[in-house]
Amino acid sequence: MLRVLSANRLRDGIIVYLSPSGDWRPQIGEAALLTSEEASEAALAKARAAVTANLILDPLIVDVTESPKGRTALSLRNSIRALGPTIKFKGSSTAA
Amino acid sequence: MYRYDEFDAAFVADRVRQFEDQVARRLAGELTEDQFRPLRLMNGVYLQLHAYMLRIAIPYGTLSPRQLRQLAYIARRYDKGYGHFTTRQNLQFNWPALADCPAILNDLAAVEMHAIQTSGNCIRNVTADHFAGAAADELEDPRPYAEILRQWSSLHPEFSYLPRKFKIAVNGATEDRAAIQVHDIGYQLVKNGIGEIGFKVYVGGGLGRTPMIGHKLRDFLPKADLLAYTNAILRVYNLEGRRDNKFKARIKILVHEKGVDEMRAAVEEEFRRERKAPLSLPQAEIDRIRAYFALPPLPERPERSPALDARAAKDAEFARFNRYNVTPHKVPGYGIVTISLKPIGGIPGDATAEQMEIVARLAETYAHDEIRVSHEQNLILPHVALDDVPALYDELAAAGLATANAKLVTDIIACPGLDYCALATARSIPIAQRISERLGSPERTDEIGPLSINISGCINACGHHHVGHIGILGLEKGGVESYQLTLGGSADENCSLGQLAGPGFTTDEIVDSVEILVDTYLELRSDKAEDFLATYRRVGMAPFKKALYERFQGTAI
Repeated sequence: MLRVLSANRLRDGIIVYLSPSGDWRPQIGEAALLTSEEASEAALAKARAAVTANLILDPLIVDVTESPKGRTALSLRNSIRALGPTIKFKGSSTAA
Repeated sequence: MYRYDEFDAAFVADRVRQFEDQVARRLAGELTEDQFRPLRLMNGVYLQLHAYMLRIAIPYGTLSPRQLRQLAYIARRYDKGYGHFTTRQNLQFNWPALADCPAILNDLAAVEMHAIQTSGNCIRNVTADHFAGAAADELEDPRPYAEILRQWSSLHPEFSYLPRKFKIAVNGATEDRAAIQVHDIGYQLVKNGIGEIGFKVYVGGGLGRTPMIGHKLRDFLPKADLLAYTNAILRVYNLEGRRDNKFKARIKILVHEKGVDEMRAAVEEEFRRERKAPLSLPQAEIDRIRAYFALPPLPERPERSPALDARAAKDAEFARFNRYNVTPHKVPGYGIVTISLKPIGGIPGDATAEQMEIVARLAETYAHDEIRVSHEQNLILPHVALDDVPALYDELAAAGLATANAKLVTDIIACPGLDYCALATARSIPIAQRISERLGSPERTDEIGPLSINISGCINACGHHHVGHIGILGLEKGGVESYQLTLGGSADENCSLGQLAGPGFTTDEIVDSVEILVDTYLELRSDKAEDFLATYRRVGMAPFKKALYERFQGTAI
């Protein structure tokens, strides 16, 4: 099972993923792939440290799959977390 | 409308400064998330799937143009340029940064708004009929009483840590447009045998995982006793409500387990003990608050408008708008105009910053500076001269805000669902969009007539599915979305809870299923005047169930 580690960033709440270099990136494709239980445990330990350091919130392991089209989360919830709402909301053209 | 006095302004400003300090301490690491979470929730800040969410109270659904413009400014400055009007007369921003929330609250305070008690186990935003003060069928405007309850309950020290959240609604018209029987307390303004106006009191209604219709505790409560009686109900609940199980902590469970007669006796006993305390409402104070809600000066006009009639005679689209979205006003020659936030295929309740600004301008031009927000997720201009409706319609149409579908099958109530909400188990909005597209042609919606479809993306029922004529509950089964259908719900004065039709349907099946229900209704109705709910109440579940499961036999999950 392929996995990545995700969380919400404390400052703005957006979804982030633990990258191979140990920082937190907004794209699921930038996440470090966790291919063993040991790797998942090590990632969770880093996440706990990041929680303590007030960088992130609510870390969780996300099951993913790799295909020629890219990396996708297996569950609908985590897919929506990765890609954003499945609806085309209308925003202002001059939003921040 | 109500204006903050010095006390209100200082109260809200203090709260903003307090939260500013709390956010700074959180970002600096001086507060842990466990310490901070209850503090941010008390200020309306949730953490959702993609970002924080800020829920802003719109007390009893009344907004000024200045306030709506400020919401538009906040949407642009701090969010993605839109807001979502909710099923409890709140506005939610889906993308604010935590670091910006104090600045947003400061901007809200500048226009006499806040997010206090939009979350947490406290008395939430007090809601009311969105046609209040304007409706032709109204006994008295419920908003002064909602405002009195709001002031009394804001940061009430005794009721800030209730067993669970607590929702109060007040209605003043014959038609219950505030869904009072599915609130923790519902107050209905009534006249007694000697002509005095007071309240009929319902307690213990609610939706969520255990839907219940409220029980009547009192046929008549004098206005002076409004706070003392509310206090008594809250005291009994605060003391006896279950704190051992979150899912059994609402007052509806207490009323159910205790029995309505014992609940009434306990409330009356507490009420007798406390009614002489300073909670008795002086008439002068009621009058002072009522003055804020006085009807604007509406010049006398003829009952019918030749300009409106002439336009309706030659313009079928305008005629539909006038038929569905203009409701009789208590003053002849005026109408209440519903601005639908349910364009065909659109997202129920969403409004862009530009749309908010347009509505604010139109309220100033045509509607005496008043805007209302309905729990049905639409906006309302409550005082529009019938002569002005054609010009107003033209401006709304140019802004994409003239969908003529109030109370029709495409006027769908939907919670944010799994597209935004951390609690959701399935998506709501895409289902609403697909149903709207399927059934949304003018000819078809006209043929179907009044029909409410309410969609919730989880068992917590923010989309009020139990009280939709057709209710849809999105669940997750075996890793995929599954949608259950309920039939026969209604949130009005003849309140009823929808009954489950049977096993759920897949995402692919659910729109077809709704269409089958609609087509079955069209076959079964005695005549065109019998709407969906009336037909369901006459024929029952069986023919609808038969039609549904004949089609989907073997495929329903």
